[in-house]
Amino acid sequence: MAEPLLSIQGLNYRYGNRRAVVDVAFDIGVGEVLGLLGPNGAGKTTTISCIAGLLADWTGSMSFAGNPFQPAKVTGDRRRLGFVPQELAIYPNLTARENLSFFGKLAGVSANELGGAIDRNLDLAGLVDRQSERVLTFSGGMQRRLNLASGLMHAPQLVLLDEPTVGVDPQSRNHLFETLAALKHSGVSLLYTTHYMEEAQRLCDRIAIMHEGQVVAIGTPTELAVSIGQPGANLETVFLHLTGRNLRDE
Amino acid sequence: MLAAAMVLARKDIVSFVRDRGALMLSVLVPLALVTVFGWIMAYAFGGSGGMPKVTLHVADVDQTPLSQRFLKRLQQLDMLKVVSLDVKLLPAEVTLAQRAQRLIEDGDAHHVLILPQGFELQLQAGDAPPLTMFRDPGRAMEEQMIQLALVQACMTEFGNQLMLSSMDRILEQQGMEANQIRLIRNWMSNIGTTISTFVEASRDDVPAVDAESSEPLPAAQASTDLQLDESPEVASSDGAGGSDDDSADNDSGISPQMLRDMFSQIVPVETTDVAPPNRSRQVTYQQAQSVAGMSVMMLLFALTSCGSVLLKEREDGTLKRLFAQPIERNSILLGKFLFVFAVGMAQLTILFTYGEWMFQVGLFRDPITLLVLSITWVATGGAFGLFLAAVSRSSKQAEGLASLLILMMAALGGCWFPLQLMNLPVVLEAICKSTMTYWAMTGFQGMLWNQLAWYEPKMLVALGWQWGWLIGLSALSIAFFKRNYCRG
Repeated sequence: MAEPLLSIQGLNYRYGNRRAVVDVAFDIGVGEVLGLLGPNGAGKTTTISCIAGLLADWTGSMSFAGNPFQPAKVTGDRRRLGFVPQELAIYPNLTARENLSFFGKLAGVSANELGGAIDRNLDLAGLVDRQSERVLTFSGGMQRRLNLASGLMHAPQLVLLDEPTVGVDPQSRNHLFETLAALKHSGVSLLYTTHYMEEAQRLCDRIAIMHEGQVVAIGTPTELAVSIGQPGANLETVFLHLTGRNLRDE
Repeated sequence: MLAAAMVLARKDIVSFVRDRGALMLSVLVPLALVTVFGWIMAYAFGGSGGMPKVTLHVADVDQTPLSQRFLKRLQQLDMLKVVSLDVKLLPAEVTLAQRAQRLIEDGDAHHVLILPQGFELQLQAGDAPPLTMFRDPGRAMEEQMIQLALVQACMTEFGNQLMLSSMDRILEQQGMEANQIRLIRNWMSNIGTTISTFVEASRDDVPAVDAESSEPLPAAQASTDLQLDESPEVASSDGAGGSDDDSADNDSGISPQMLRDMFSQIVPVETTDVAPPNRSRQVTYQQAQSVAGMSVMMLLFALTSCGSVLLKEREDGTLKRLFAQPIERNSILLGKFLFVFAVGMAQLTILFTYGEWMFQVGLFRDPITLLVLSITWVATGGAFGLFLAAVSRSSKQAEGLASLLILMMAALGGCWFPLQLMNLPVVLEAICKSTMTYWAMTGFQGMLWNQLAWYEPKMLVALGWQWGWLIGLSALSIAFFKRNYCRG
């Protein structure tokens, strides 16, 4: 594996008495796409929230490019990350351009670079022609693309994506995949949570399967299939083998 | 159709009942409002007494048994709240007239009555009681009530004989013949009967002076003091004697206004008007009160609504993304505050411009004071809006809390009606004075009515209280924001 960009060791987080994340450990290399796969309530979003700095009271350790990483406490650490939440976290009464400008300014993009960053991300999202229209007039797929672009304005080294394709039509999903592939090729690392096996198989270099707050297996799809003693098994088989067939009520 | 409607209604009822916060507020808000308004209205406009209570500042310079008895009589009137000014406590360099003027200029008093040196002597000589009044000429309602109160007190204490003898003297001085004077006296007796009826009607409201505690009247005064209800002369000369109060008034054709005019002729009050030079004579105190009160209250509603943008960010999911940005968490709160402040200033400007255009209350006479007061109130109200957003868990909760607190503070702070017209108990008065709306009203009224500049002591106190609220609410907003928003 390439040199770790982000390294997480012994990450734990509790919601009251409930342990949501239990001794989670993994690394993400430069330009690597790591998928976090797991059923509902497995701890994927909590893990990503700890890394994004949304949750502060976790225990364990994180390092970024070899340096201690405290995103909830150190503002500068958050500048290294791009965050694309599950919700459409954009402003419907602003135009696409205004949204990108807003998030670019917050992320610390300088005035000289802001125009270029907006144009680049509008192009990335395929919204150049609609840049001056209010977001509330956009389709769900267009809003998802803008949601992604808004997290990339400051050209972060690591992008955290929390189920970014929920409710997206196949065309927009395909566009998102192409965008993420382009980011990967440009050396950006991605941490990607999803429910969809085919997405994970298509996009991710490695996959960490989470179950009841723990990472129960991590590796390439091939390595995971071997780890359950069924070489050549698809990801869904591996997933069901590791997490069981019970319905998830959380 | 009805079955479907019933199913929908049942679903809404179940959802409503399960939202405990909203349910609690839907019950608590009306209960709290009923309690507060019931409590306040019990004291408003006279409460069960049916008469508004007007504050009258009185300085007894004469300090004689008669002046003290007159003061006590004034204190016993239900329509008055008498505040005694102790002339002995005045600094040597300040005259009583200066003190009275200052009280009115600052808005701490609207009428100051002085019982001057020689009050008793003049009465004993059979002359009208000498009264000196400093007044704010714009307080017309209070003026009328105070005149009525003085009529009542003078009639009760000094009797109509004093008036009649005064009239005799005046007529003789004018060279009138004895038979003409007798005719006029008969006419005056009829008026006296009317007054007697008027006083009797008010008697229920006026506790009798305790005979044991009252000082005996001086001989000269006692001889002229006529108990109106026991006067055989009055009773016999008045055909309406023994009739009820209303018919007496109607039969005689004497209106309260005529009574007041008559009283001002018989017991002249030497009046000095104290009003800011630039105040428009067309503006009434009630207008100024209304413009200030509605502006203060409506702005609070608007600011609270703006403050809920914080809750909207959370409910829309955008707050999560903001938290992931490389910015200080408190800068999010500060950004919201600046937004609320900008909107509030714009709204206040529109409100005041419209108010000035409609009522010409002189809002823009002192733009610096207006700006200082506006900035202070908008900032305080904005902090209040953010505080509500920070403590609430949902927009519904915030709306319920806002309605509850704003309406209560508006009532307690005097936005709806002047607190001066209420006879508030000490505890309730202290509660009123602890609200931020009270101090906002004090500031805006000070500027609008008394034309005080922002640096006058009374205005600085009002501003200081608002800044105290602003600081306290800001600190609480930050604390609740960290607790309810930043912990994930």
